[in-house]
Amino acid sequence: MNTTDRVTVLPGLAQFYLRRLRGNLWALPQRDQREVIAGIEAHIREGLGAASDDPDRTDDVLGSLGTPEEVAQQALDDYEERTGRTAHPKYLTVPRGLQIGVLALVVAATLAALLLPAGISDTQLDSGDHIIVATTLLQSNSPIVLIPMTIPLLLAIMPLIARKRGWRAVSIASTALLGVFAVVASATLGWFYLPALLLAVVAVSLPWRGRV
Amino acid sequence: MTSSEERTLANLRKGTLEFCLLALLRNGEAYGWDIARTMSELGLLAGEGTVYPLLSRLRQSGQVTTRWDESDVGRARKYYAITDVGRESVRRFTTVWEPFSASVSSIVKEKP
Repeated sequence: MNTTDRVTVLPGLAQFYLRRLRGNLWALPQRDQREVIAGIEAHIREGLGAASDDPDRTDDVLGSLGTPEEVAQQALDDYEERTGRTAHPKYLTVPRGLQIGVLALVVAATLAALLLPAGISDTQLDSGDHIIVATTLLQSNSPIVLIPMTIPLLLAIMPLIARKRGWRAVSIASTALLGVFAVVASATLGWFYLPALLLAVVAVSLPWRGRV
Repeated sequence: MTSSEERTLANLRKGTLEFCLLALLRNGEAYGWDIARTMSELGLLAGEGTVYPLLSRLRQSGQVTTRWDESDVGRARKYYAITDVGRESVRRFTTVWEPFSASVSSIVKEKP
């Protein structure tokens, strides 16, 4: 191997540095993240040259880069400077606001499914008369029915407590499962969960970042 | 350097760093490592890594352009060159900076 050969595998510390950097850049668009990370990675490779197995050299190169947090802070500042948008999204973004709406619709659907008349009980009296009473799901079933009813509530809460980078994956998973639940429930309860499902699909389709 | 000195320096860098980088590129194109090293040796960077987000922003705003040079076997380098837009930025900065820095220097100078 001559000295101009590319270091193919970076030392563990350098990989750790890049992972930490990526973790701190999550709020930026993918394209910006990639450009900064590619620049830093090329810098590390350039600095290591053929000495990638020399831990002192790795320390020097990473040390003079500054911490991943400092680099990421510069990247966030530059993003804000260039676009006039905030790179520090608040908890309550537009999609998150819609997901709070999803939770409200799920709660409403659950109450409707439990409390609206869902069946009729037909009691025949000795006189031969029938007493026909509308019953709710809760009256006609054992309280065990409450257990499956917590599923959509949990699914609606999940994206609200997911942080940062996991948000979209959690949201997609919870929306898909909510879809499954809505279809299954439609066979027995009715389409109570359809409004919540539609709103969840809208929320997960929106970009994370709202304008300042 | 004390932390309050560092804070002062960080604030001063904020408004001037991009113009220093552009001014440096007026001497000719350079690749990331070279730019980071030179700026760092001049004491203009908190860490060499902070130059990459800045280069990305300057590229996206059309003040620098990039090209890949693969003449070095096995290692492609990304070269940055200043554009006319970038030159104009430095020129405008200079017209503001020179009187400003002269005023600052004169007012902070201790009286004998």
